[in-house]
Amino acid sequence: MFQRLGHVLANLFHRRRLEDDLDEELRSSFEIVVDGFVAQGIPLAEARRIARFEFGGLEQVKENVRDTLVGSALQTSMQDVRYAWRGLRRRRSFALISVGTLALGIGVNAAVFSVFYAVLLQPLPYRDPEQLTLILGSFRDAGTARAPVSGPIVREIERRNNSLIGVAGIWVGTETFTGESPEQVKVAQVTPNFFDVLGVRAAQGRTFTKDEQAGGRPAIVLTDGFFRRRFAANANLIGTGLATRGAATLVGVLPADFQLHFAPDAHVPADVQAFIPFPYNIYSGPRDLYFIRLVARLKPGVSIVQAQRDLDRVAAEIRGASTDYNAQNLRFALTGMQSDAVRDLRPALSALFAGASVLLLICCVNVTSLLLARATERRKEIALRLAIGASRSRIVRQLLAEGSVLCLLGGGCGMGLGWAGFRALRAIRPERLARIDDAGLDWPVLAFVVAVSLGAALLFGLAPVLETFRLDLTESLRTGGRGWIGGLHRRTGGALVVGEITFAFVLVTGAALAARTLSKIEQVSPGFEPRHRLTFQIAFGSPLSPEVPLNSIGDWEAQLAALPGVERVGATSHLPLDDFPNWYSPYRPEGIAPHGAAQRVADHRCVTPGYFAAMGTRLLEGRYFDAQDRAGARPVLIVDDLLARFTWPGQSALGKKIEVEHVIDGGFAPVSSVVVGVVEHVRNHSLTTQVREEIYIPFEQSPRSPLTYVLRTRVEPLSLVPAIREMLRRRDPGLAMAKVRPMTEYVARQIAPAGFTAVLAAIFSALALVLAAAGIYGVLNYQVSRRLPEMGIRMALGAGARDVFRLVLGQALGLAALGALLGTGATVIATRWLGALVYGVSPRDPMSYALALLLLPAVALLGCLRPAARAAAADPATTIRAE
Amino acid sequence: MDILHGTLDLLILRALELAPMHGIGIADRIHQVTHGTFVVKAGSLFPALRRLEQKGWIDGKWAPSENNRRARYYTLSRAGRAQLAAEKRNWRLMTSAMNWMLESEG
Repeated sequence: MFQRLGHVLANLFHRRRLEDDLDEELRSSFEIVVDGFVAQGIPLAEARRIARFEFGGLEQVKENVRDTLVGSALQTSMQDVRYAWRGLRRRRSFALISVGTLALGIGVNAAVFSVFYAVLLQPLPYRDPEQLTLILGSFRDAGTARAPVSGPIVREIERRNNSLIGVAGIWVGTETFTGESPEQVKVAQVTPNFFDVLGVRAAQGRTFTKDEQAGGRPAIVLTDGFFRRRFAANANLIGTGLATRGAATLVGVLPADFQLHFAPDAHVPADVQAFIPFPYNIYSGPRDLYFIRLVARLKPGVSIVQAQRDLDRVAAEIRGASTDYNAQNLRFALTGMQSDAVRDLRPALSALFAGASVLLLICCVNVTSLLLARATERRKEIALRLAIGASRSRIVRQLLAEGSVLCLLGGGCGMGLGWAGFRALRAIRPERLARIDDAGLDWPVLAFVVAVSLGAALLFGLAPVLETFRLDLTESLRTGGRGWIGGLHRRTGGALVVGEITFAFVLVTGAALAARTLSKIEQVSPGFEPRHRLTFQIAFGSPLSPEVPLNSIGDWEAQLAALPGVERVGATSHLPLDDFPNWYSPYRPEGIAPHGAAQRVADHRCVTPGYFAAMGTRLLEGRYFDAQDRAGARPVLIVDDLLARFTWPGQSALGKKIEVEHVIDGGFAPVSSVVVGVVEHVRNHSLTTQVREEIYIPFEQSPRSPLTYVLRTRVEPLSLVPAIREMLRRRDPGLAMAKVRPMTEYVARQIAPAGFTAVLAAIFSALALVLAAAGIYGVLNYQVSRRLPEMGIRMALGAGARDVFRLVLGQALGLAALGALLGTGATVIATRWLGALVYGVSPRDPMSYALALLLLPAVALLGCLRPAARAAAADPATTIRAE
Repeated sequence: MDILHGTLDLLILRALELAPMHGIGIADRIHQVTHGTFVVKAGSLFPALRRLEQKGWIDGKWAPSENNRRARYYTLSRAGRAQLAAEKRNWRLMTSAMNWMLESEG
């Protein structure tokens, strides 16, 4: 036994040596034969000729020897695989359809999983990213449980915590790079330890040091992309001053793969181009100016739960030490940086991944049904082979080999398809999925595809195998394997059809919901008119002290309005749907006691008089701002209808007084102001959610920078850009226009994720319908072909072609009805998780269900038409004779 | 005459029973002893040798031949001897059975 095993191993591992041995043995044997002839007195040449003739071809002999060397399991397996391959080549259409179906299922999954992995699972590109956590604030006046914090709070957390190595803060503003072509970009203000906490090192130069904070030494760090684009990656610039409006020394450049990963509502966008330390001492700043986003690194071994408990204690201590914060009911919430950054994407991507998996299930059902049909056909062959002595295990191995070959081919083709699909997804990805740009079919994706293919191979291979074990030899040989299908295939086939309809039903309803959501989002009236609006941003100075004479702003607006093609011009501190950090504050209506803890918070914006008319925001009551509402004049306000209705229900808001925060001399101060107008609510943050009420202040009474201009145009908005750029250059060569976009672009960006989901869902469900039709056709066609004799007998007994046709149709529709019923149930359960994904429609939207209820029987009908016609065309005479 | 299916193994084992031999020697010996009835072709001899070697019934070793060529000599192993004995018994049983059948009357 051991010796034999030794030979097997020797065969496997010493094949080369064996071959050499064989070569030598054959050659020497040949010579021995020749020697024999020579000894009989035959001349050498003649002896060789005869020997060659007697010996036969050397290669032929070797081939014969090799054939006997099939001692190893591997070689048997290779034989099985070769056998399967030959079998598949004989049944080319069967092989093509199975491999194609599998490739489709695996390809779609590979593509979707690549996105899923790159966005949701791939660790953030920081050192030990699992130790990074965000600290979110919650205050009575914050209006959200995910608020930023103030500088003094950062200091308190740093001093009091026991669980964090470092706490870093960030806030994103703008900065203008002056020079030949001035350019305004997003610049993040950070605490000097920001990059140390993330564990990111500069690719060139260094990041910040502690003495560079609070304007100690103005320093700046650039991203690799911006350094290349604007400064041609000139390394000599490091250590020198860059021409910006607030001149700073370039101390370092970040690695090319560096990227910020924050949730959209953190207002820390990914396209920040430069970093500077906070130019003022944040720790001594206002206690209630909440704007800093915090990211912290946990001490090794400290879990996020332990850290949360630690920060609960810190919050309690702060509340105990400060009556202000106690009144604000200050609390902190810790959340993993990675999971928070993709919080908004998880539902949609999970739904898409689930959809792709369902599609794969449908593909598997189709292939299983094909293989079962094939196994039934081969029943007689298998019975015969068992009868002449093939072992069952060998036949099982061969069936599995066939499944494996199919899955290998399907997996290979699927990988190719997946790569193509992934590239297509990248081409249509919404802005938020930017992270997939650098992703590819990484090893986790490959592992996933291999796992899926192997799982499928086992599944497909096993179904026919299980049937083989129930094989009764004599019965099969006698009936040609036909008796078998009566039970098995009719039952299994029916189950497969029902399963397919159920899965397809879920996908179709999901796609219908996604499409309805998309159209509802497109129909949203956001409180402004996006078409024919050009917008661009100009930063006049630091955020809190615009260094621009107020009258020149009005003058500049008049110049813009005079351009041909421009109808109206206005400007705002915060454009709707922009990623600029929001400005929201509490407000106090005079004469109304605060409603307990529910102090109201509103989005604040300062706007120039022309803004509402330029945006197309409708006036509901009172008036817009005008040229009289200037600095020093009576402080006035415009509010939205949400605020008016909430604060003074049933009354007019006009003439009422509210205390709001104005920016005066670089600080915030409460100012009592009179409401002079009410406008419609504007969707500032998202098309689909009404976040909070809104207050508008005349720009001159509370000036802020940067300002975003809105031009209502008669012409194509972007065609005006060169003229405006030239105007600006003549006015002030140090100013730059940023974010030059038509307003429609902001809206399109908001719609894009829903569009992405809807397009994918539509593709999935279209594929599901086609696959379901094909699957139903396959199952029924096969059943009909096996039941032709039965049909023939029925017709011989007097049934008409029409009756037979109806019989098959009725069976198919019965299965479809059952599938639709199960599908409805499955969808009702599945859509419970869709709540966050649908907008404007109920997850149980009758229209979507109706569509699926209409489409799926139609598909079933389509799939069974031909088999039914075939059954009806059965000729009683032939079929009975064949029996 | 063609060698009966399944008997080549027996012939080879028997040829090796007396002395180790190389492949051509085995073929010659079978040819001689059977008075030229059986001709073992290289195409079946070498596969059979490999098969027997794998089963552990014979062992092949390189050694110089009578003409001073390097040849692979095969020896009957202990398992080979047992196998030969068993096959001999089988064969005798089979030939007797065949004879009874052929010589039975009517």
